[in-house]
Amino acid sequence: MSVAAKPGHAVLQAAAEWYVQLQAEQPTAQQLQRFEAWLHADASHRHAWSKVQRLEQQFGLLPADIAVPALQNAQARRRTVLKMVALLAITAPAGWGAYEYRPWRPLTARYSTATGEIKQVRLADGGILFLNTATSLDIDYGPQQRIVQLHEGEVLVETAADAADRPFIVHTRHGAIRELGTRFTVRTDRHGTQAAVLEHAVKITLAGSDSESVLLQAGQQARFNAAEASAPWPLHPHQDAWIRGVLVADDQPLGEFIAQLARYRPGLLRCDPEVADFRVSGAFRLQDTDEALHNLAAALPVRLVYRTRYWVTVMPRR
Amino acid sequence: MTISDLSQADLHQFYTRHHGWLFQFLRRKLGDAEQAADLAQDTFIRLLNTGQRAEIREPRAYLSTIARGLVADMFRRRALEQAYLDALEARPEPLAVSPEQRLLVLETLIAVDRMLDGLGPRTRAIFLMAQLEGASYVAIAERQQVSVTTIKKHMVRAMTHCLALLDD
Repeated sequence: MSVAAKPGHAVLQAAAEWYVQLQAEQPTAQQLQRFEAWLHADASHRHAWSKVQRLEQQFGLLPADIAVPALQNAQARRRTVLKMVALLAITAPAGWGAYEYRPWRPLTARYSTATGEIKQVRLADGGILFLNTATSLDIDYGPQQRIVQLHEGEVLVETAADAADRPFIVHTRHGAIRELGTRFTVRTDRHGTQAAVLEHAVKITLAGSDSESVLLQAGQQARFNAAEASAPWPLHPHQDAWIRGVLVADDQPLGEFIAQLARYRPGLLRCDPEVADFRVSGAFRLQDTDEALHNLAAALPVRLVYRTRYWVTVMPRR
Repeated sequence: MTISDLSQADLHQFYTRHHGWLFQFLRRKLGDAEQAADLAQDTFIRLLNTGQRAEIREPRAYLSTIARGLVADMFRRRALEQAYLDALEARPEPLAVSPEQRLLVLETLIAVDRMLDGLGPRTRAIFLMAQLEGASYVAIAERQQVSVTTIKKHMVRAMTHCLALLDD
């Protein structure tokens, strides 16, 4: 096709109009004649029409029952992903993770967060603790050791090198996690403790046995109680996104996702087993769990049943 | 300096100078070192393949534009792939699809999705109903509760948009 025949916008629009006109209803003989005349009037018209035909072929390759939901859902999903990218660019959302500086006057101090709250605490040696939702801990810096006693909840630790070379240890009722590097999280509840290493490594000693220890490397996590530890398994990408106030799901089962979201929300949040296997991808602001739930309901065939504001169930859409 | 007259040594230098920040840039965007490393490589390959003859005055701006496009492509591909698999799974009876067929459909979906990008959600939905479901304009008009003339307007807009984006 010569360059001269390359159709401009007006010609493309004319081709589109013809296409729509001919598709709209059974064309009359007169209409077809006019169309033929248009087609033969100029090479650029024929070129434009050949593009229409190519487009038709392309659509013909797609099975409708698959392609329509795929194209519609992918768009909705991409919107969530784009939202995620926008969110991740914000390192410290306004009004979130209120910064707290405590010069080390008392040797021990207690910190806690309410459900849905995330707090950042700067340590005397320059290290940082991020307290996740519903967390309580004591910080105890002694002459020999730097100790964080985690009672409940989750903490992300970014340690700093210590001038006195004191080891940094997080204690839970199930054991001790000693840092051999800089960045890790510990989460504990009545049943067990989970440690995840983001950088370098940690050593876990179980409360029930002084000799038993587990070494976790960067990218690994393990769960343990006083008596035994699981085999390590890999971290999820974005597992620490909560410090930026974001919960990120990457093809995660809905049931699991809802269980995570429930940690940030007062009251009951449940997932009907019928929809628990739906897959969730996207990023959700923890600051507003209602918004996260509404985004879910828009992206998946689920609906939210509010019994009260504090009792929400995710049900199949009917 | 244009990319096509760079010597092997110049190329190496260009790569060494820009790889570091580009990788960090992508890692911040993706939050994943491995994917960031892959896309950083792809960015350089894309640059070399363009046979860029014009001088690159702002290499950073140029590279990050390419990289941003690649990130968007990756998200698009991933979202479509997942949506495609979901749709396959949601079928009442299982459908046997060969890997080749699957790839062909996926590539076509990506091409179509890219074309439909600039359209509003309403135009997009109408266009898909007509082109893929084969619904008549009258049926679509009823479903959308608008006139057939309005449907035609949306169709012309969508079609013109797609034609303009289709390769010559």
